[in-house]
Amino acid sequence: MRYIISLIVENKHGVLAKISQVITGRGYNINTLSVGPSEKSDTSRMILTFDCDDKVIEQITKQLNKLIDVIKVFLIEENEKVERELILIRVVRKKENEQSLYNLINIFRGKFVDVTLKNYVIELTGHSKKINAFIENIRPYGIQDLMRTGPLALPKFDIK
Amino acid sequence: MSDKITGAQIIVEALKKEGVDTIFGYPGGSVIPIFDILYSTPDIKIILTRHEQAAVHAADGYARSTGKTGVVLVTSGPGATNTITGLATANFDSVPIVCITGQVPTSMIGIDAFQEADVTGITNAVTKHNYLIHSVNDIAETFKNSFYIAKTGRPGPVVIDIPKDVMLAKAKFDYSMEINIRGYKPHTKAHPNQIKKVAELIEHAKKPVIIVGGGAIISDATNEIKQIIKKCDIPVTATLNGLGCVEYDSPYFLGMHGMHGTIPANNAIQESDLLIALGSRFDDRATGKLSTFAPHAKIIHIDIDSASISKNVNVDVPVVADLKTALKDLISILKDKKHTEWMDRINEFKKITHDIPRDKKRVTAIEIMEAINRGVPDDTILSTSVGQHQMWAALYYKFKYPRTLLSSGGLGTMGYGFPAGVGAQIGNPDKRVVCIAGDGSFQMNIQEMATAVINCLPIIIIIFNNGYLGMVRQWQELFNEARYSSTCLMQCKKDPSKCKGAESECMIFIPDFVKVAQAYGARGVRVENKNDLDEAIKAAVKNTDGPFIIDVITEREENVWPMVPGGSSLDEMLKGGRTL
Repeated sequence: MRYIISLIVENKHGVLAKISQVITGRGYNINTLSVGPSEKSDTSRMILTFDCDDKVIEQITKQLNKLIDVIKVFLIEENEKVERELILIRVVRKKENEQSLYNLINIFRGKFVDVTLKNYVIELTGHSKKINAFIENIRPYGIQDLMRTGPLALPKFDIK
Repeated sequence: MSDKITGAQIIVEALKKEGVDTIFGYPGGSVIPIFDILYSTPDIKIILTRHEQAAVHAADGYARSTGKTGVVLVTSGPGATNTITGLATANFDSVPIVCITGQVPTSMIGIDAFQEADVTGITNAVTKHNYLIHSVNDIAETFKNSFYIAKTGRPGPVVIDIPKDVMLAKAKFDYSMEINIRGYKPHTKAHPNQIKKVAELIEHAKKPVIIVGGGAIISDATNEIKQIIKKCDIPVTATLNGLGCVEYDSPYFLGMHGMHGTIPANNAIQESDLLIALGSRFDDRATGKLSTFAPHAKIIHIDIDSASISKNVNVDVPVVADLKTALKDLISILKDKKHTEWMDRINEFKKITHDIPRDKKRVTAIEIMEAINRGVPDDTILSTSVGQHQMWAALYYKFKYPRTLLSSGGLGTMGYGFPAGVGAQIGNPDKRVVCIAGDGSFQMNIQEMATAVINCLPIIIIIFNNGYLGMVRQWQELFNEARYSSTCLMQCKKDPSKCKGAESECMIFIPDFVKVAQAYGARGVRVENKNDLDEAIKAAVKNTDGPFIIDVITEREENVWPMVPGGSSLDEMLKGGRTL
């Protein structure tokens, strides 16, 4: 099952290394990881996702809680959050399927952010499931490169 | 103090404020400024070990035996990397240590400078926390936080990495700040509802067993545990690091449980209907096969570390709290109980015997342990390394008091015992320290003989000398058709034809430990007959100005019994003999 963990951590030297150490050192795998400043300048927020069972996620949560530089750990419940992921994707530009590509981007509410004679770069945000579906649909057009941010997630209400 | 002083001076002032009177260390280029200040600081004694690993083990032994925080000071690069095994040992067994490592100057970090190592990166996995100090203004607060983190909650080692230029920069010294670490607020008090649930389960249990772990000793909960045992008539077993919490000859004490646990302890756990785990973490060596561990029991687990709860076994009533505080709360609501039938059953378990070899050609383990029990004072601190001798000490030594066993339980560090004994003797000048070692283990930190001699430490080193890495040899005998691959310590590679195999009576001493003692300016005797054991121990106890080695030539292939083979249930014990 997919789990989303949100962390508030000290914004200082070596914190990311400690977090990845405590997870990988116990044989667990981080699926996605996003880090950025939080609303306060001296803390950062991280969103990590894992594919694991509930026993493993319990252990991960507890181990993260033990880290001195981790201020708060939230396990974000699936139906109590807003979730968005950003993807940038570069596809081959071909005359014969341009119209159907436009249609596809429109259906998914994506955007063209760059165009050259040979490629398009497309931007799309949404729930990770939508991103997955988009990738499947655009694959036949010839994906040259893609980059996903991993999901960001915020609880819908204050769970402190 | 209003004048500015150097970072090195701030470090020493902080150590004084923390009440540190002893540092175990080893100098080097990057820590010269701190050693320079210590040169004129008579309040702090420096114990110069002969290896940085031993410095950490010594600080560990000092901490475990005194309850204080051990302090280590080493240089950058190899000085720091040599501490890793010591830090990992202390981290596993929850021992409070503050380890100060020098670092190359800030401007040289990251350029692959001479004796540079990424110390915070390397020590992340083996410490409770670590710091790299960037500014002289951060030293005082970092030290205050480090000592607090090391000692509170589930204790553990904290590394402070300090670049040399930070030691030389100047700042005002102020140690009056309040400790406020946002991400670290250890629980101490148990939730009253949980304590109520614990009391209810105890009240309804018919076959309860208490498991005491190292946490019982760390939290100083010995008296509370003894009260509960008596009040509720509950038998008690200990993990390796829980030994000493309840005295050996208490009618309630079952001995250690686990892979080399006693028959009554393992049987009691398997038959019990309620396990009350106090400051233990259900290590795999203690539980045996998890799916059949204590199959009829509900499990109560009181521990300060929530991550230890339901990690290995599923717990019915978890209590996250300081053990002593939680047990005090529990005692206030516990009702008196009697478990006559269960205690009768326990006494039946105690009658089942396992193989204890005696009167063989050479000395056997029980003969040494009984001689030690007869010959040393009650409050002796016992340190062990890792292997057969460690298990024999755990099974047969008559522990009376907490903080009298120093043993690497979690990491299983060979070579731990002797330097840990050095630290314990420094911290307990009025007590006797006996280091039980194998001939293999002792050689892993044998250089500390110099530290013991120079500091006039009357440590008694008793070597179980069978010329083997005995525990591995035992496994090879039982599970690898006696193919003794690389476990004979006397096998001569130069002329293999001379080696007549494991059964031979070759008596090469590599090294001759009596001569080793003499080479270091210490005393040593060899004992080849069990009748000479008492006299040797008597001579060692009389000796008070330096270490004393007793090199006991033991049965070469004695095994530790009972034994639960890996992957078996606790009640599937091998009780002796050869199973080939």
